[in-house]
Amino acid sequence: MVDIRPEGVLNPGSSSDYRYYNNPVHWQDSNTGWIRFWAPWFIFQHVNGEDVGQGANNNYTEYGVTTYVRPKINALDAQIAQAKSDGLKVMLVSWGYPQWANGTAHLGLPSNLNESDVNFMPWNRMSYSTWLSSRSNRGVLQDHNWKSLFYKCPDDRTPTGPWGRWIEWLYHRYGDATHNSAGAKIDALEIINEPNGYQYWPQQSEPPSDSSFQEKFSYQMSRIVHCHVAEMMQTADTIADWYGRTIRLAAPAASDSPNQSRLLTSRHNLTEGILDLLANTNFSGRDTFAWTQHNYWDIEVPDPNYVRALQTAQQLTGRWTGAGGSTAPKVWLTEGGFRLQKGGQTYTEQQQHDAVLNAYLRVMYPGTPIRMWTNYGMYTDPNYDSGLVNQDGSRRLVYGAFSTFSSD
Amino acid sequence: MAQIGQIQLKTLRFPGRAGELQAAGETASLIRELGDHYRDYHAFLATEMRRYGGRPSPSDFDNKDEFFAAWTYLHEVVKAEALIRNCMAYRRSGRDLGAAVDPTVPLVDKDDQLQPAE
Repeated sequence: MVDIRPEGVLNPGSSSDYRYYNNPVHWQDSNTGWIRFWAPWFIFQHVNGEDVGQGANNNYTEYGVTTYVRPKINALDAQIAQAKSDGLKVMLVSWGYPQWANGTAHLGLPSNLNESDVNFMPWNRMSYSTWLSSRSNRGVLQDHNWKSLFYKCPDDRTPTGPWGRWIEWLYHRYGDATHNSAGAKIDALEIINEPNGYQYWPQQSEPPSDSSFQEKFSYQMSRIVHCHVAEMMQTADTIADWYGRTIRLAAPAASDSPNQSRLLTSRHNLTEGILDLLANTNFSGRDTFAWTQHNYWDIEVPDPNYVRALQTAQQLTGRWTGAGGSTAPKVWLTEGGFRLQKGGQTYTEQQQHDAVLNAYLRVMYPGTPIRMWTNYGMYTDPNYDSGLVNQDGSRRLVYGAFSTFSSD
Repeated sequence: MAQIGQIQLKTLRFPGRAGELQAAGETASLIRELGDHYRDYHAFLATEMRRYGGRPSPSDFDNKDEFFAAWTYLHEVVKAEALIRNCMAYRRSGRDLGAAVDPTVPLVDKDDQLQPAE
């Protein structure tokens, strides 16, 4: 699978719009059977009290900027429909949370120039040093280096709450080609993105109220993100149950980072926590619920002694009741890649090719529990430079290797 | 509505003294009441679970709103069990009220009925 990146929906007509810039040819020539699109909830349903893309959610103006939502939804519909007609399977990932649904609307739009943003529960969203730098450079901070208000999870994650209604909207609209005018039907809906990483907060319970402001940043409290994700998986499965499980659900789209802090939860701990809770509540996703993970760390920071994706499969064994079951659980890798620019370093296309190929060969062997391999970006994102194709349309070395890969 | 730690109950109302404290928004007293009388409130929740006959099935409902509402209520019953377990652990050992429920004893058994923590 190749993830086409969110820009194809945020900015239709860009190189991440499947319909343009030779994208169908790139998918065909690379022998790629799947495509992953993004559904930004915070854009599609920016305003409370109206349906997605309807009424005040058709277009809205804030701070002098008008966002036209309907064309973005139409663009997503059209891209899904074209990808399907080209013979691809489609995954759609739900992205972010509108501020009306997560209790941050009173703060104004997310911005590193917004005082209310910077000061809202900063210990859940940034390090103390980042907060300090935001203060010393008030109004001129260039690095947007904290978790966005769009990534705060809603308190209500039940089927009748805002998030449940959004997932239901996606499931209904894209679970049946007759439910949208473009005839767009997806094959899998990933309900969340990297909940243990930078696109979700809070990760831990609140620090003691009587602790000092600075202390709050360093407190290691109880991990709670797995509770949220397990509940969201149950809610999505309930929705799928009503609609006849016409498409596959996927979660938790975990980052494979080993880092554990107030801001991040390690892959291992997130997986353990979710599995514990799902078992505690008799969750049964059946074969229509896929366990998903990202594998940037396995590619960019490989460990000679183990592969994180395979470790996850081991954790699922005997416990996971979704696709593959507890005896032969399957793991879909739904994002990954090797960046040519990262951490101030520049890497060559050959290094990218070798890293991706080596990581692939470590997990994709006969009988492997890994059932999907994904690259983030066909056309590369200059800010996350892991694509298979340069912005000028030339194909990178890794493109050739990718065309030999196989997935479910 | 009650919120203790990370657990928010929107519609479930405890009976008796806890219900009075819940309605009055007296959170500290509510934590003490639920934690000190865990067994009583577990019995109430287990009865609620049995009353619904376990996991809702789409075939038992005429429309999706009723089906989702039934699920949402059962979510609350299970979360309420986690909440009273957390209150008990807090009262006994000072365990973080905001922590995830201790997974040692499952919340529900294989028949989808609430299990007591002890």
